[in-house]
Amino acid sequence: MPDPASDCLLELTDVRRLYRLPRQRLLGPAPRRVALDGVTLRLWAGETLGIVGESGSGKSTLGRLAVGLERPDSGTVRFQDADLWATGRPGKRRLRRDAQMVFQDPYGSLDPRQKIAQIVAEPLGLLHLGRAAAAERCREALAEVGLGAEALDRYPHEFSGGQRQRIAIARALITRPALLVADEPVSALDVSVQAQVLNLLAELQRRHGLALLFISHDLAVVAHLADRIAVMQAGKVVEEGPRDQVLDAPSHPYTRNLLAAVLPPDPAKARARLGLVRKRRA
Amino acid sequence: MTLLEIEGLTLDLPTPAGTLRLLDGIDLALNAGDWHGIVGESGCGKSLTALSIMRLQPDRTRLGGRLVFDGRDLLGLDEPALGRLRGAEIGMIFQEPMTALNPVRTIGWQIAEGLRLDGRLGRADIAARTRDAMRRVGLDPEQFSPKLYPHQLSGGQRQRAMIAMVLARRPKLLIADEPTTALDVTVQAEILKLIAEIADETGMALLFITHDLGVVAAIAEAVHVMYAGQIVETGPTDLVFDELAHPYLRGLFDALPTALGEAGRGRLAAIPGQVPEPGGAAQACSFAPRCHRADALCHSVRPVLAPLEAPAHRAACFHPLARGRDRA
Repeated sequence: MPDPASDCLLELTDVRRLYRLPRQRLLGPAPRRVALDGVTLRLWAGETLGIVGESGSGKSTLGRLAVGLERPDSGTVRFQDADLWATGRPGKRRLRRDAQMVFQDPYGSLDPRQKIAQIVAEPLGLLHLGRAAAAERCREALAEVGLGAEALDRYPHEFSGGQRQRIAIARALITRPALLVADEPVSALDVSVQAQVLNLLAELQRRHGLALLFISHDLAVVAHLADRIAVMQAGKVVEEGPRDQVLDAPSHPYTRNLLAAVLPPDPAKARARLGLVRKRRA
Repeated sequence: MTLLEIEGLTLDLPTPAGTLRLLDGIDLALNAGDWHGIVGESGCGKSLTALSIMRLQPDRTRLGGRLVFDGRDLLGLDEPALGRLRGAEIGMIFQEPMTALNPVRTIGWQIAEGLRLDGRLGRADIAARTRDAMRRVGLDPEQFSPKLYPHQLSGGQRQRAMIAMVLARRPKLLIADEPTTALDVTVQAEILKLIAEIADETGMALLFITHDLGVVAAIAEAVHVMYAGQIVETGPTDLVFDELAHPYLRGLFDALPTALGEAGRGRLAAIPGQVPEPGGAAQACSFAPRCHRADALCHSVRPVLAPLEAPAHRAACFHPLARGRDRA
């Protein structure tokens, strides 16, 4: 494990986040739902932390807090040794450069009316680069994800799901961030294409020493990429530790449930996991 | 006894630029009580196959070939006859129970709806059957009111309500199109087990449509692997998943992250390129452009399903892989 004092990139301490739900009655109080309930997590430079949990566990909220898209109701989010919500605008500006995000839906996350050149260059607005330097960065970022410069003048609809996700990754990389938050980046993709995107993320992570916060409902995918795994349930991190420890010796019953529910593509094992015994044949 | 027999099923979509062949000669035979799976990636035609069996294929498409269910030629039936067949003899459940359920009707009403349509049971019997069906899927009517609306249920409960709707009519065949894809993994396991147990008790045949190789492995005794509108490998699941003869299927397995419980995780072996647009070359293997074994033959002749070592195991490939060999 890296030296905790120097390399800690992102630190969430006792973070709570509540969402207000619609009022049930006109003058009644708006009910609240706890999305994150006292979450404490650290992410070191250059490591991949996998967040796994089912729908409603708070994993996406965690990702949004990590890049400053949401503000915690209590607790602190520190990024590169500065409290995100204490420093005001300059802190946020640096955050937008040094922390980037890739979303699940490669169809909804790219503006259909913009050309790829505009989409990928968008985060550069923060850096005040000249036009030539910006164009060069665009080509570089696309090359990083395996797309040629001919993509620049095309529109999102001309690309497949896997290619769109590459474009979204290029957009995230263009500011050369220290942290990349990927929220279900392969969930909308077919297995054969999912593998391409997972390989790409692993490669980029190694090449640039990115810290990767990888959020997914799919334990197998998380296990493939992560150095450490945090398991979330109902707004809490119920288990967190090195990948092998979480997978081989899970301490929380919920983690054991998750592991037991994964169906391997092996008929005998998958049947045994479900506990299926066919009593009668028609 | 053969319950469902599909022979040379084709689905064509006429367009100004020519006819697109969406399904290309699907053959499938399913006996009463059989549990089969159709597996493939998006756009391979697995859902179109399911819809075609119900004669619910999209407008403007043309269905060809032979489709026989329980001794009746489905392509020759008129709409009223099909209406009596759907739901009553062939049940279907879908991926997204929220869109498949009627939001302005209670689930009790919806479970009973099919029984009312059948017109064979009186009101008291319908109510009793509805309660039985709810109890069987784990929505006990004593604690769980049939007067609830779909939006008041969780995803898993909605899928249970869907299963109760189908089950109440006791169909001979259940077609389940990605029934657990929208659910969390722990709920998925419960729902799969529920469907299997009910099928086991009632002798109902299952046709599972899914992209998930693990789901097929758990449920299906026979599997049909689809790619670009064609079945490319078929046979008993134990045999097919052990041998992985078609390079596409082998590629899918190699692309799966299997780090769970195994030491060492390197690059995943992704299949290069992407799934072809529908209606591609009829004169070549549709997987050839992505296949590392493809030669001139593959690019000029379309392979058909041919028996491998075990005759029940067939693959549409000129260069099928031998078991364990060439494994990445």
